Amino acid sequence: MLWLPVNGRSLCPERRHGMGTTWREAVQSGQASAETGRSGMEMEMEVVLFIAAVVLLIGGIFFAAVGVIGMLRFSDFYPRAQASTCITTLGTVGAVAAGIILAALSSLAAIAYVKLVIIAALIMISGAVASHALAKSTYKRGHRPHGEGFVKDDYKEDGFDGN
Amino acid sequence: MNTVIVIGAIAYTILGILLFIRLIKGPTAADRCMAADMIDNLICLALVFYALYSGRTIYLDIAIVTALLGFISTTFVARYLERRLE
Repeated sequence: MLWLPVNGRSLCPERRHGMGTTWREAVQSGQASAETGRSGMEMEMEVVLFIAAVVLLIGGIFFAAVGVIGMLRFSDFYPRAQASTCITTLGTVGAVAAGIILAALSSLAAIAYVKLVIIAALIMISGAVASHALAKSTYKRGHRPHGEGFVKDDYKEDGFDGN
Repeated sequence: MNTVIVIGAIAYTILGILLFIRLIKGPTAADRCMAADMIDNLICLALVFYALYSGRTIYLDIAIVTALLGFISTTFVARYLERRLE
């Protein structure tokens, strides 16, 4: 019978000495916010995580913009391919890391984290493979950089360019 | 927090739309192929933020498929371009 609440407090052993309070008393005394029931320490943690997510997102957008500007402004294929790697690596890391933090803050389903990590790994691995495949194909078709050409040409030393 | 998510989605979408200029202009086919792959990757990242905005995790599946499609198409076009030596 000790667990029957008396005056809003139950009389189980840890509450008899006033160590625990009910939820309403915690809200009224200002220790917890009314909507989420979280205490002051967790609210500070949320703000710090949110600021970290914003910083990561701004970094990701900045590097993706650098990659896009590089792809638009360079005058040959090989520098453009190098600028495109900025988008796949740094843009992805910024966006997915910010996405993981924001998913934790907005309490998305637990499967979202696995999918986000899969997206990041997939984009980073596939970006490298696809860029190499395209660069090799343009080399085999005989396209060389304008002006002086390559500084170091391993394919030519291996005899790979058809000579 | 909703504002940050919407800003992220719109920024990546605008960057993806800007790359269409390279898709139209690119002198060689490999330029266009690379631009298409980058558009796929940027739209995939914009879909990640839309999934956060709407609260549904189903859009992350579409994001995975979009990134996969871009990679597969680029690899096969590269192999086709390598074989046709005129």
